[in-house]
Amino acid sequence: MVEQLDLSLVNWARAQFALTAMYHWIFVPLTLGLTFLCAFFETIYVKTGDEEWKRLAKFWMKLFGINFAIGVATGIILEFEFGTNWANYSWMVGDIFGAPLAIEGIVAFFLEATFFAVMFFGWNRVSKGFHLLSTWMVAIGSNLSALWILVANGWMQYPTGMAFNPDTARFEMKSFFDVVFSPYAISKFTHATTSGFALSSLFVIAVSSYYLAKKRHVLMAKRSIAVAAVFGLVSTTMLALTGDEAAYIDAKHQPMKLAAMEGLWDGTTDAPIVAFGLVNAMKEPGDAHEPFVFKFEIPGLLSLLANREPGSFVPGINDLVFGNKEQGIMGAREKIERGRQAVKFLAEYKEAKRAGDEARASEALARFKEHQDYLGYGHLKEAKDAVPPVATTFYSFHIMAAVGTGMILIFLLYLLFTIRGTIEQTGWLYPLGVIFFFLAFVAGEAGWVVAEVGRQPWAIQDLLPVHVARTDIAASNVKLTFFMFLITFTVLLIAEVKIMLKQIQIGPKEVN
Amino acid sequence: MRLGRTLWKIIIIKVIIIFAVFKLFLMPDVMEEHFSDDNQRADHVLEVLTGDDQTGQGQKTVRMNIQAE
Repeated sequence: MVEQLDLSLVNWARAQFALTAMYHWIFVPLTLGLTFLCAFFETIYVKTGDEEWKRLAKFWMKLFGINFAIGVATGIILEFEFGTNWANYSWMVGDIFGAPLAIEGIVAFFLEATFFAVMFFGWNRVSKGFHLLSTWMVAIGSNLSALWILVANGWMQYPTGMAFNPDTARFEMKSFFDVVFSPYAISKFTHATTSGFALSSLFVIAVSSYYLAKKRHVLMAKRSIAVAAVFGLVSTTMLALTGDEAAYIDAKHQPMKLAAMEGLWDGTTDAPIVAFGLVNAMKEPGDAHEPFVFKFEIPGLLSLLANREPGSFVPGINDLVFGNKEQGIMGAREKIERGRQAVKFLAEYKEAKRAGDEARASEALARFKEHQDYLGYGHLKEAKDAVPPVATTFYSFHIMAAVGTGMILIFLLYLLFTIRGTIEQTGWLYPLGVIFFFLAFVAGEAGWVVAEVGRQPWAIQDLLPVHVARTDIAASNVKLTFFMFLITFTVLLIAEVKIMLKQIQIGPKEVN
Repeated sequence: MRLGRTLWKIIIIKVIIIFAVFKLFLMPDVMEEHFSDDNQRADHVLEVLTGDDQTGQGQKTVRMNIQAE
């Protein structure tokens, strides 16, 4: 599909949500990971009684506090956008989203806020043990908040545990546990939080590298690097494992996303992974264009990644658009026909109910239920509309994977030189640590692009396309708020960077 | 102490902007403001789900003229 810039309302609404989500994801990963690092540092202090560990813990807590203060409440704008720009979607999923988002708010408010106050203001006012408990509660609380948001997002990718009510046009939750423990919810939670852990570890490593380069706070920097390198290495290993799980789940439930991630147009057995390449932006479903300008493949790896079965068939975009009888794949073309039946019988049901014709309503409802799994397809114009932006999804996935692989190497190097006791002499490594800290942000954002662009055109996979989910409001409203959010978030980001840099420059307080 | 004061100022200004400006004036809850009960909301969404022209071009819905105040 040729990706064209379209300034219609739906794309401004998409752009606004993407903008606010991406800015929010600058602050959140640092919170998720830095809280645990602070908990580790303070645990070591309490166990050893060494005041240098306390100084170290308080310093990183200060930086965590800056990020938390500036980032807090930036996510609430996303919820406002549900109500304003995505009103139809918001109505339809209210019963599903209500519980997780309510729990998120309660957990964030009660657990985090309460213990946050003790963590910051309770030094020397409460016992060491209670203060340490509070720090751990902040870490657990902030990650639990992330859980509920990711449960909601996971449901969008793989709607489960619900039934569509044709009278209220809402999805009604039938199983809370199916929603919370869906494979997508677990995969997203583990993958997103470990990406935050890795990013935070790189933050600690980058700042500590700066101190080593300046020969300031050397002991604090070395100790911080030791803990962060271990935490980072464990996190990036988990990232790789959870990423593998995410791809396996995508193959089952979002095969189009996986095909776009790999630029796979024609399905094949023994499918290779593209290590890197340049996609052909002119390629469309069913045409004769080559999918890549060039590529470097690793044979057979995609079959293993997608299906955990060597040599197995992995469908390509064309199989998913046009169908593949041999492989038992129903194409988007056929799904659109079924979806249109679903829409037609839903309309008939609605009319029959209005007219008080129960017999006709009952017949229409039965016919609707036969096709309701394809309801969303009934709103697509043509089969190729089911294809997400391939180039964006492909490059985002490969950037994320490349940076993630590089992170493992960086953590290994820092850990190796720390164990050898030569970290102070490896000045060549410090710039790499700093560069990878910034690349970690790129990887995190790229990951979200894969997840959310790769699921297009769906707001709810297969059930509700984005253009139906949106509110029919003036595009000028959305444009106005887009630029206001852009200015607000940019100001906040600049403020955070300036305050952080100043505090890093000042460094930790001396031990009393 | 100065850092703390600075952060609190940022938090307060940010929260005021988000809740008193964005939410109040620019980000209304459309379903709450433009429909008086759940039946109307359901009818509207059903109209969207069943009333568009099946071409994927967009909604043939009642246009809600939400103006930024």
